[in-house]
Amino acid sequence: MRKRLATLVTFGIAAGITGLVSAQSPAAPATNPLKGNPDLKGEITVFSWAEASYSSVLPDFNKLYPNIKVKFATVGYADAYPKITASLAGNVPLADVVMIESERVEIYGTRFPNAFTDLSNWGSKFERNFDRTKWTQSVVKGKLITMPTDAAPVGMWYRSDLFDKAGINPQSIKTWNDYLEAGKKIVAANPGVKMSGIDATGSETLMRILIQQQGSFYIDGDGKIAVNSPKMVRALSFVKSAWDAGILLNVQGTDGLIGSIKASRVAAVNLPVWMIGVFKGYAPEQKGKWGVVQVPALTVGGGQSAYIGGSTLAIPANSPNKDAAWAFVEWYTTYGSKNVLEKRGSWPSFLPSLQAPVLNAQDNFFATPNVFAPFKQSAFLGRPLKYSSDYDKAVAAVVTAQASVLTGGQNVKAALDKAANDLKNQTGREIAGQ
Amino acid sequence: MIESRALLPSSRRLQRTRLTPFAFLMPALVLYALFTAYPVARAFVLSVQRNVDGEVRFSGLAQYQRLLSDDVFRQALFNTLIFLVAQVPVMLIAALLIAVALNSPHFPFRSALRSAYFLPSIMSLVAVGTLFRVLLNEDLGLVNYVLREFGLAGVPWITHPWWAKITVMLLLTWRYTGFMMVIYLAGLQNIPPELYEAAQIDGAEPVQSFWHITLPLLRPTILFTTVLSTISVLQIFDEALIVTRGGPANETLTIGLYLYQTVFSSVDFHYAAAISVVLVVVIGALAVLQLKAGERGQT
Repeated sequence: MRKRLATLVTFGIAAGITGLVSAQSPAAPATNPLKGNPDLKGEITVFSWAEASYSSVLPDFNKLYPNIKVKFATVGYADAYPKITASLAGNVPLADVVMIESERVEIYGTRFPNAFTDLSNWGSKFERNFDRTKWTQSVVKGKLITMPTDAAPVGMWYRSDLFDKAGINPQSIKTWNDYLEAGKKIVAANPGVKMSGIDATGSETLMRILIQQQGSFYIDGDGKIAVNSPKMVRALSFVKSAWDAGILLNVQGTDGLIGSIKASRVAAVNLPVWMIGVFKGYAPEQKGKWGVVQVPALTVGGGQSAYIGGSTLAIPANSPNKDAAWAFVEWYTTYGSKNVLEKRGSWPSFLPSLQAPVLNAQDNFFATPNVFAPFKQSAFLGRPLKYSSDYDKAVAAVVTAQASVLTGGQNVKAALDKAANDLKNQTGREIAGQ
Repeated sequence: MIESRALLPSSRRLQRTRLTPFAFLMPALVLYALFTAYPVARAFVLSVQRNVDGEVRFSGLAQYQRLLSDDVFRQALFNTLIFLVAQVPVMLIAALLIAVALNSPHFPFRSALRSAYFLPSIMSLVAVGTLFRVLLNEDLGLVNYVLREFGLAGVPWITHPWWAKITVMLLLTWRYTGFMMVIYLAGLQNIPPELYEAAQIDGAEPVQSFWHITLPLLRPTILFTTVLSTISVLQIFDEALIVTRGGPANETLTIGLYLYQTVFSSVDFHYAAAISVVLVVVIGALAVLQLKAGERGQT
C-alpha cells in the first residue's frame, strides 16, 4: 500500500507539473499554485462554516498572491445549506468561493446545473493528483463543479486506560466481531462505561462505515436504491447485535457525543481524523489517554476504509471575480493543502501533500504519538463512491430503519425493505435487484 | 377646503366615501397579497412543475401522485394530527384555568406569575432547544439524573417513539400556554364584574359562576384561541427540529419539518410546494369547520 502510494504521489507530482505547462491556454487565468502571481488582483469572499481552516493559511496564500484580498462569510453549520439553497434558487450571489461537503455536491449539481462554474478547463490537469474517490464526487454530469479539499478517513479512536483495565490490546481488534467481544469485556471491567456511542435515532455513521467497507452505499453506482441490499442487511444486523449486547451508549447529536467523551462514558469512537481537533479542543484533560488504530473490518483482511464527511470548494457562476476565486481554490486544494494539513490536521485529497513531514510527526497529546499513521494505511477507498442526488433522503431512510430496529424492535430486513420502498416512493428511483 | 368639497358632484362624493375604507385597508391588503396570497399562488404553480436536470417543466399532478404514495408524508400528517388532538385541548384548558386563577384579585404574586407564565413564549427557540436537549439528555441530563436520585428509571425522552411525542407536546405546552393565558386574561377583563356580583347575591358558587358566566362570555375568545392554536400546531416545525429532529424513526416528524427538509435538505422545491398546498388546504378546511361550529353554538 505504502509503495503504491509513493509511486502514485511521484507520478502525480510529475503529471501535475507537466500539466501546469500545458495549461497555459488563453482561457486559463494566470494562476500558479506554486509560484503565485502578484499581478492578479481582486477581492473574494469565502462562504463556509469553517473559517479557521481558510484563515489559518491565508498568510501563506497571500505570499503567492499579495494582491488578492480574501474575506470570509461564515455561518453555523446548520445555517449553511439553507443559505446556499436560497442563494442558488434565487440566483442571488452568495460568495465567490462556497464550501460544500462531497456528499451534497451532486444534490446541488443536479438541481442547479448552471449555478456553478465548470472548473474542468482549469482543474482537470490535477485530476491524477487527487484521491480518485473524492475527485469523482466533484464531477456531476461531466462537469467538474467543485474542487475537493479534505478527505475524512475514519479511524478507531480508543481510550488506552479503559482498554488496559479490561486487558484488551486495540491492535488485536481486527474484525467487528472482535470489536463486539472486546466491547463486552470493556463494559464488564469499567463500570458505567460502554464501548462506543451511537445516535440510535439520529445518525447512521456506523452503518455508513460498514456499508462503505463492503464497497457499496445506499444508492448504487447505477442510481438504484440499495438500502435493502444483503450488504445493508449485514451492516444493520451488526449494529443490532452490538446494541443488543449492551456495548453501545445511546447519545444524541454532537453535543451528546462530546458529552460522553468528556464524562468518560465511552472507550472508543469510530470517527474521522478530524477528531484530533475535537479531543484537543473539548477534552484537553484526557491528554495521553486517546490512541488510534485502523477501524475493524467485517472479515479478516476485509475492507477497512470509510469516509465520513470531507468537503469541496465551488465557484458560483455568478461570481464576478472568478480568476481570483480560482487562484484561491486552486492553491488551497492543491499545493496549499499541505499547509492546511500542518495547521489544521485536515487530511488532504491532493495526494502529493501526503508526503508532508507532519504526517510522521509525533504528537504527545495522543497515546499513539504518530497519530496519522493508521489513516495512511486506510485513507483510500480506491474506487468511485457516488452519493447521488437523493443522498439526504437515503440517509433519512437509513436513520429511520436503524431507529425502528434499535428502539422500535422491528426486524432488520423488514425495516430496510420499508426504507427502500419509502425511498422509491419519494424519489421515483428503482430498487436494485428488483 | 370645506366649500370646495361641497361643490363636488354628489355621485363622485359618494364614490369617494365608498372607496375610503379600501384606502385605509390598502396597506394591510397589499401586505397580505404580497406575503400570503402571492406565495400560496406561487406554491401552487411550483407544485404542478418538476425540475428535470435544472430545467423546469410542467408535470400536471405528478407531485401530488408522489405524495399519495409517500408513507413518510402520511406519517408526518398523522403525527401532526396527533399533536393537534392531544396537545391543543390540554393547553387551552390549562391556559384557561391559569387565567381564571390569576384574574382573581386575591391571588398572591399574580403579576409576577403572569410574567413567569408568559416568558417562555418570548424566549429564543434556539435557546429553548439547547435547554431542552441538555435537560432531557438521556444519559447525562438533569431530569433523568433527578429521577434516578429518587430511585426511578430514566425516561427515554428523545429516543422512544411515544416519549418523544410527549416531549414535543410538553415543549409546546410549556411554550404556548402562557401566550394563550394572556389572551384569556384579556377576555376575562371584558366580562363586567356586575354579573359576578349579581350571581353572588343570588347565591351562586364560584364553580357555577365559572360555568354560567365565564365560559359563555368567553366563547369568542375560546373560539379565537382554538383556531389560532390549531393553525400553529399544524405548522409545528421548530420545536420538532430542535429537540427531536423528527426522530425516532420519524415518530415526531411533522408536516412543517418534512416540508423544511424537502426544501433545504433535498432541494426539491416542487415536491415541497405540493406538500405546502396540501397543508394550506387542511388548515383552511379546519379553520372553516371551527368557525362554523362556533357560529352554530352562538345561535
